[in-house]
Amino acid sequence: MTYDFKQSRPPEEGGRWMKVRVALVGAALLMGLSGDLLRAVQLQIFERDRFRDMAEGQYLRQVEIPARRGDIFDRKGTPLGQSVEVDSLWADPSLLPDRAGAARALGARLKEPAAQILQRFERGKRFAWIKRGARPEEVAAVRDLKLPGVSVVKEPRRFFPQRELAAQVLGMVGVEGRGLEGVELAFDDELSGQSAQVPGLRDARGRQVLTAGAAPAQERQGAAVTLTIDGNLEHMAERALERAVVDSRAVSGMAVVLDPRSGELLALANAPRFNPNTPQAAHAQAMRNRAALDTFEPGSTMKAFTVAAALEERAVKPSDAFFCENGAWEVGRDTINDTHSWGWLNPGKILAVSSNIGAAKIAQALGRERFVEYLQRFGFGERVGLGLPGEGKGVIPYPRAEIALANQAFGQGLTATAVQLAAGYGALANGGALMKPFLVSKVVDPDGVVLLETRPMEVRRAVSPKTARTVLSMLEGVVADDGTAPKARMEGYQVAGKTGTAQKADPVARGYSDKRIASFVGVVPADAPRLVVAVVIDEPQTDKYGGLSAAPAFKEIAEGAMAYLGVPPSRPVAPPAPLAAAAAEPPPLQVPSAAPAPPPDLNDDVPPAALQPGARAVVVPDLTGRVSREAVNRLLAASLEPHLRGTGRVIGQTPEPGSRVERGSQVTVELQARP
Amino acid sequence: MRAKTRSGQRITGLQVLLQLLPGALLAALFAAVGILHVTSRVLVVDAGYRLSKLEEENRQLTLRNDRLKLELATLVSPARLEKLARDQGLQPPPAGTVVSLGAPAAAAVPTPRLARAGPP
Repeated sequence: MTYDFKQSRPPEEGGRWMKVRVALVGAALLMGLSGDLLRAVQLQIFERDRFRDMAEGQYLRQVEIPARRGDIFDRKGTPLGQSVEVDSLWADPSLLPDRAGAARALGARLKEPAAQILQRFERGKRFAWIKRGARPEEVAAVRDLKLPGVSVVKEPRRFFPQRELAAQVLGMVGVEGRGLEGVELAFDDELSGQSAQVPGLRDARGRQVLTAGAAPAQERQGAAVTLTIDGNLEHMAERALERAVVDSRAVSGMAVVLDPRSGELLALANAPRFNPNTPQAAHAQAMRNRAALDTFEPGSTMKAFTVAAALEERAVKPSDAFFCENGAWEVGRDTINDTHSWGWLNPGKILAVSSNIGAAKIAQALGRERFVEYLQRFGFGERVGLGLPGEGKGVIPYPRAEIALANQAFGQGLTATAVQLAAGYGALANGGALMKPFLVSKVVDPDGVVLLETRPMEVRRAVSPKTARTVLSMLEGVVADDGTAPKARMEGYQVAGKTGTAQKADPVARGYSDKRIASFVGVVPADAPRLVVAVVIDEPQTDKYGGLSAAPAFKEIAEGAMAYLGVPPSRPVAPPAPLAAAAAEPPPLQVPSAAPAPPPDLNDDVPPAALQPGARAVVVPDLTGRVSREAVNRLLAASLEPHLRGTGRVIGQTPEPGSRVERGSQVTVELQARP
Repeated sequence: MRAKTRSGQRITGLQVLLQLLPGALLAALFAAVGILHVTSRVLVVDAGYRLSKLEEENRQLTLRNDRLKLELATLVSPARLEKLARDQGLQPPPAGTVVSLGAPAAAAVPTPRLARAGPP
């Protein structure tokens, strides 16, 4: 089928005019279209960015996904500080019809003064916090009020699940999520993480639509900080310290537990304690990490370093005797006193009975320069560098006057932190090598990148291993019956330590007051040191001496720690030679038989237990029928190494009872429970 | 073509369709692209809703997980365990009754590895 368009058309009238009209209409349309095209080019190309921004501003929102603050763990992975999102209540005061009435109702539900809430409503026109970190029941109670303009928003809040445990070490976090004290402040940048801003649509119902995806959770998580603190040891230290502070009616106390081999701080305890979950209820002084930050005059605990320096420099020998002036010695216009009247004492006995005069004379023999140099070698006068803000470094003034040297010899007229003190004893326990104390072992990003890792680091050698062992063996006399701290003596473990009872300076009267700082620093076990425990009691009222107020706390901490760490008991050794010293005897060149026995000439490679007199062979005891604990104790007492098989009572043993074996040999014990 | 038409040559319907075909195809292409675009936008918005929902679910689960971890840490804190043990009549073993044998627990305080020597 064909169709002729031309023929079907009606005949044209004025065809020429029609052509003009068509041309005009065509031109008009063309112009219009060209105008539209130009406008489109202008809008889509030249002003594209401006209009796109305007459009996106209307339907796109920057949705903030808050960062999750990193956790803080102890050395075993137990969380010490955790962040959890909680509900916070806020209001748009402009939407509240009756602000005063709303404030009253909210105040009644939240148990907060209505005036304060009203004040916040008056101050903020479109936004006012009602309560941040509200409890779920409080949120429910406020929701029941159905007040217009009142909303709930999630906010991260820091919790410390162990409550008071290591509270001063951890510090605090403010309501804005920033660290205010302690580790929380020192590692705030690492812990905080980065809040993510992602573009999202908001639909007609106000729902968020994340059309551009969400930031990975790992990017929004702060780094995790792992401390060297052991939660259980920290608990033991805090419990013992708090008891000591309460018993002695002291102002405060601090305790440090340190691994001398690595310098790791296993516990940093402060008393009184506070709960960092409710810091507003605590006294400001209770929040201070005194053990790590504050310096004080340590007192007689410094005598160990005086003796160590003098022995290292061969200024004195262990057998040398010093006349202790029967308790009072005039140095210039001043008089140095001892608590007891002592005559001739050797360095070991000077440490055991804590003679100030003896220590001063040893320092005199050593000389000023070498004395100060050795204190610095032990780490005094320089900041430990734990990374905590406000850490003190202590002061070792150069002792120009004789009396200054004498005072410093027994720990007065100089200052140190408890951590420095523990680290110094750590050097003695570690064969003379000073290890750098550290508190933070690792900081790890959520994606596993290690931002910081601290490893044990030897700072320097303070004294030789021989000197360190000699001083340590002298310090074992401190816990003997005639020493200053028999209360620190432990069953099964040799203890080397030193008491301190320092006078506190009176800043007003510019002298010393009658207030004291009592302390005890001990190394346990002395034959194979695993821990250094320093206990400092500030202003004890009942027992002002370190051997009475601080030593029992040391013992409690050390006993718990030895059992917790599974440290084998010390090898039994022969009782030390009597340390009786004859007062007011003529000055002997060599100590007479009545004077303290000089410490054994220790060889660097030989442990003290092997140096005891007697044959190397021992007799295997009969253990038949004994329970395992008795059997073990008898074998250890005989310097034999127990090897247990089974449980219950002893039914057999190898070697046989009565046979002679070499000291330190293993004895296998067969045990069986009674049917 | 025009010249031939003026000369009275008839045009078939197929030829008309063929003349309109490019325009029709172009229109169909535009329509297809438009539908595709709209469909993709709908899918993106739908995915956005699902993502928002999952993000919220993730947040809720993380929150719940955090709260449970917090509760666990609170429940096993040494102070609480000690109190519970004392309430049960338990007490720390007297000194000397715990005898450790052999190597001490390495996990508690591991043998240190020395780093480089520090500055004097």
